[in-house]
Amino acid sequence: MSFVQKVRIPLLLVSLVAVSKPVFAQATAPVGEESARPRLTKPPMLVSFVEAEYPESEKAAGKTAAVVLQLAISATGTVSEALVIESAGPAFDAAALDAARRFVFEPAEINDEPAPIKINYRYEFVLEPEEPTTAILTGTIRAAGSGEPLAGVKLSLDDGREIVTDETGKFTLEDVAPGRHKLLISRDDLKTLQTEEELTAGQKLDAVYEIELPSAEVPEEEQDDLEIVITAPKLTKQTVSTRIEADQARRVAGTQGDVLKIVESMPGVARATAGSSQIVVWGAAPEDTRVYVDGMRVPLLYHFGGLRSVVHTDLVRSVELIPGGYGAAHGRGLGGLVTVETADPAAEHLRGSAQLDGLDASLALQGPIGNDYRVALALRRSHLDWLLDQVTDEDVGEFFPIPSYYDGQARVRRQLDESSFVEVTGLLSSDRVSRTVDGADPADRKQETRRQTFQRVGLRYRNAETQGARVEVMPWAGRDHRELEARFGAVPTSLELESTLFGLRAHWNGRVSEHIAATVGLDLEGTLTTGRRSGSISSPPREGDARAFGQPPSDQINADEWESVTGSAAPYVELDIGLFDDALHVVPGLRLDPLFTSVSRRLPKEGDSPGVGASSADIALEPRLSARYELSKRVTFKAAYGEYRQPPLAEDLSPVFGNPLLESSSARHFLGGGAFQLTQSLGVETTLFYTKSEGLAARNPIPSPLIAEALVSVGEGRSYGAQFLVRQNLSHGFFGWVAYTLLRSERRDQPAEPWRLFDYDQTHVLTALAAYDLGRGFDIGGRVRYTTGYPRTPVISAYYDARRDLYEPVLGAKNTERIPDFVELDVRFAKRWQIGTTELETYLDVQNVTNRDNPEEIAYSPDYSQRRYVSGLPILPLVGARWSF
Amino acid sequence: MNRVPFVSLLAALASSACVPDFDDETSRITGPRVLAIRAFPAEAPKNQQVELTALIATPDGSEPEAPAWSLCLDRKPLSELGPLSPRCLASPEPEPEIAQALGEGVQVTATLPAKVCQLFGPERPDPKAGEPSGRPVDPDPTGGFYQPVLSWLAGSAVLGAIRLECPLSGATREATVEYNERHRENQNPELAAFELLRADGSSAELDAEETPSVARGERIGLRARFGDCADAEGCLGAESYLVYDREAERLEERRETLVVSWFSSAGKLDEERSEGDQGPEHAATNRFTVPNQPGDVRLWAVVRDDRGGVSWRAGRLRVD
Repeated sequence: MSFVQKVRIPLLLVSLVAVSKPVFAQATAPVGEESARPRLTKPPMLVSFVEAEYPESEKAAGKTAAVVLQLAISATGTVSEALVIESAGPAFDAAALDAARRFVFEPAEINDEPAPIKINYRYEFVLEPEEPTTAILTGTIRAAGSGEPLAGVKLSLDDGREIVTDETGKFTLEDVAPGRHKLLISRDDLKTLQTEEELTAGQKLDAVYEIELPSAEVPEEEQDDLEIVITAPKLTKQTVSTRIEADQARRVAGTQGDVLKIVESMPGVARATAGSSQIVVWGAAPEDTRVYVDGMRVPLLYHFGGLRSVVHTDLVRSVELIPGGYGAAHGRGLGGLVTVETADPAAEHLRGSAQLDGLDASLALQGPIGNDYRVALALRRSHLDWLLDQVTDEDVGEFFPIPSYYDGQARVRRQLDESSFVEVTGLLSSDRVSRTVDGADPADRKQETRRQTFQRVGLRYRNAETQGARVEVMPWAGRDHRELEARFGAVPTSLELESTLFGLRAHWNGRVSEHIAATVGLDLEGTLTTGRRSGSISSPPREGDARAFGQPPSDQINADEWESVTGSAAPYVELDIGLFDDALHVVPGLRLDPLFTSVSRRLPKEGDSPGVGASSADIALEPRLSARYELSKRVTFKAAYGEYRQPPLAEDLSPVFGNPLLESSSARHFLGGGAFQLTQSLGVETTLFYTKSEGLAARNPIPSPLIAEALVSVGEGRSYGAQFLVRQNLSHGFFGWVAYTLLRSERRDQPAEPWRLFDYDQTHVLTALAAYDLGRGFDIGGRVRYTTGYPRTPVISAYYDARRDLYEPVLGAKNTERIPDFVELDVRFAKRWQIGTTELETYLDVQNVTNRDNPEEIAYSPDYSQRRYVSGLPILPLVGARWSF
Repeated sequence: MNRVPFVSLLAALASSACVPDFDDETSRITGPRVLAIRAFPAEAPKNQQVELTALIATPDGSEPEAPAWSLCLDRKPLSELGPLSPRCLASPEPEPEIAQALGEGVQVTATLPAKVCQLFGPERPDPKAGEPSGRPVDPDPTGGFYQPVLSWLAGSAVLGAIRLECPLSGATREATVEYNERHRENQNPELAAFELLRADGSSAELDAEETPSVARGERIGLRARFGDCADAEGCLGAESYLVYDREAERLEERRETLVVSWFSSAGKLDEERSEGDQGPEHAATNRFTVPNQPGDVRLWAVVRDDRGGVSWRAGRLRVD
């Protein structure tokens, strides 16, 4: 059984009223007789505060006051006596006394025993703008699927209040204290369900819970307890984004239970080549799409080979992909934005899971420590390399690149009060893949090793209550290490980048008027990189290089070592203006990005000459604008525009292999579309988009370029197309979507050149996926993907290089042929067993069920006289188990 | 447990892709083909005349057609990943500013351009008006730079190279002085012998006047013996040479590796290339399966050093 909350509408109220508040409480003297040496071991604690009525006469006169009372508190916590010891006038005194006599305390303890005590209590009467101190939880409960309102359903809030839905299924709970609340939903014919809601002061949360009624043939004890999909309301919504909750994502076929792998199936995302961990969004280069985990930028979302993501599934609350047109809070990227939110550590008791399959093993634990702390920890390590060693006589690693990886995440949260917390989050990830081809023929010897690690640590403070607003501050730091060591015949290639990163994200958002919400923030990031590179300037190849797969790199080599610093402190502001009863939302934003780049060497090192550094600055004002118009409850239109900038990559700032004075690149995004809600759970969304980028780093086309200008910022790019999404939200145990993107992405390496296809262009990207809860713990899921093959440059002939004794291809026009289309069907079966209070889930995830021979690349014979396709993965069943408690 | 499917499955999982095998044999000579281009001297400074010789193999030993030659004068752009400017490849008779025609024949003579070290070497190209000078060419792993030459046979181009004797550039002053003192020009290696090795331990010269006979389908060994470094004419084997290591910023003394490429008009070679043994054997070996058809089989061994030096020997077998 499950129910779904679908709509929540925050409402903030501000007005000027009179309030009174307590200021301090102080124990004055213990009163007791059971001990000769009494010792106060626990002070009294006010558990039931009664607000005094502000005397009307004084309020009218605008008077404020403070009354100091002496309260005698009994051993049971009631106020047995109240005296005024500092008067503020009869009216204030009487009001304070009246309220204080009704206070209830948790009694004081003297020598660890409850005892009567007297305290001084200062009661202040102040006039100030009303700060909403409570929230309203209202909504409707109805049957999933039919939408029929459910009357007589009892809702029990954790503050003790209960309410029953009326004939229309509606309910309202007023004066709910801010914070996270448990809500029990019950009726005689329903199993009691529980959900949690987080409310902020002044908020009116309008929720719709859809409850699946129990079917007759399924015994009640075997039904799922609860599944909730929450789409948290945001003050500022992205115009186009796809967001999915963890519980749904891990049921999708082809993800092997990894929540974050769902990003591959989202609209606008091109299919990555098998074995690649890249994300290509709306025709942007992989390095142009930014990935954030809890506000910290990380260099990759997937481990090498794309087999796993870098964050454990148990710690993921949701993942959101914004392919373009995102707001002012983010920048320094020309492409899309992937944001991963991790879940709050469990507050009630220790929870955890252990997972094992052919790829890796993982462990996750989370739970409270004491009253104030919550901790989450997850670790994962691949064992595929070890497994292969055990079952093969030869070193398979000599012929196949076997990825080896591990990752870990840790979080400690301290709940400061009901509305604020501070937490420390740590992330680490490590990848290594190595491939060696040995042989008697020295020309055939190839070796390649890639390593990449990153670590992040961030401190986050969040306060979600200050007048309904939210403040968040997050400083973070980290290290990245990327290394490539390769040898192709006699030609070595080495690239090593060691970066130290630091950042700060801070923002405030809240209502500035009834119809305007605002976000003001600062996004600071700096990167110090030490780069070392040797080998051919053509290796590793760049996007747009005319080359054939397997083509040996040039044997003209060089070496360089350099340091670079890039950074910017970008303040931004964004407004969300609600017009026409919130039917129209206009969200203008502005971001000031002062990009700064400094390099240790302007020119390549030459002999004994000392190095001279160089620096450049680029201040960019980046306007963003989006609008969303809700024509009706079912039809919404949207549009967005944004300007974006991106600093040059550290590896491109080498004076030998790149250009230390590369300028930042820029992009503009235009998009528009509509969303149509066909039924309660079925929606259609379509988006048209156009992006244009300039100043992209491209190889210098001149035969004799100037020193330190191997790259120049003259490349241009454009992408345009449309994406469609038909999405069935969870209903009757079923969810799924069909996403189709029609796209063309083009580049030119200098403005005078004609446009050519981008290396990662895929005209058609179609993904259809579905998951269905069969009941009795059985799940089934499937995914079909169809994509156009990537463009490639044709080989039209070859010539023999007699010096190196190898053939070189003669290439045709860049990217004028394609790898054939890709089609794949994946399925997933899962079964869950309840074992006591724990759950065991076993699953079979089969990729490429039809064992289709999908071409992934075009390979050529040594003299380029023959060509064949490199095949992708064959049918690949993966069995795994996950035990959780 | 059937291990093969399991291993295959894991291997498939571990691999990003499955690379296909090809059945082409680049070591099989099926028509006239340029197998090597030899420059003499093997390393030359600007303005020097260099003798260029092509090894042209034909499957039946017939006289080959004379190739046409050109000296490429066009520097390739950085965006070109191959070793040659595409403009030099566009036609056997390109524009004079792109390539200089050298005539026809198995052997021709070329004169290195006066600015060859700027065009293809470590010296910076002449600056354009108002601009600083441009980027020099990067050296190969042996520190060498090459003048490209093209030999055109039946409309197909073969790229050859003349190693340039240019000043050391980009090095510290100390390293430059030492380099100038100790640098020795490269020499072409020589093959002292090209031999057939029989299973009974006997051997025979393949390029002797009397053609050795072998049985159909017989497995035999092939050996290419390198020249001696103590030869009066200089080192005819694997030479030692100096190279400036840009990462370590110092001179390194290295020794050449000699690699032999094998070719045959019929039969099957085990390896297309073999690395030379620098030990007492001082040779490279290979295995050859004699074809099942009687007749003559022609064999070639081409030895190359790391620095563009090349030499060859051709031989013949009679299959009874």
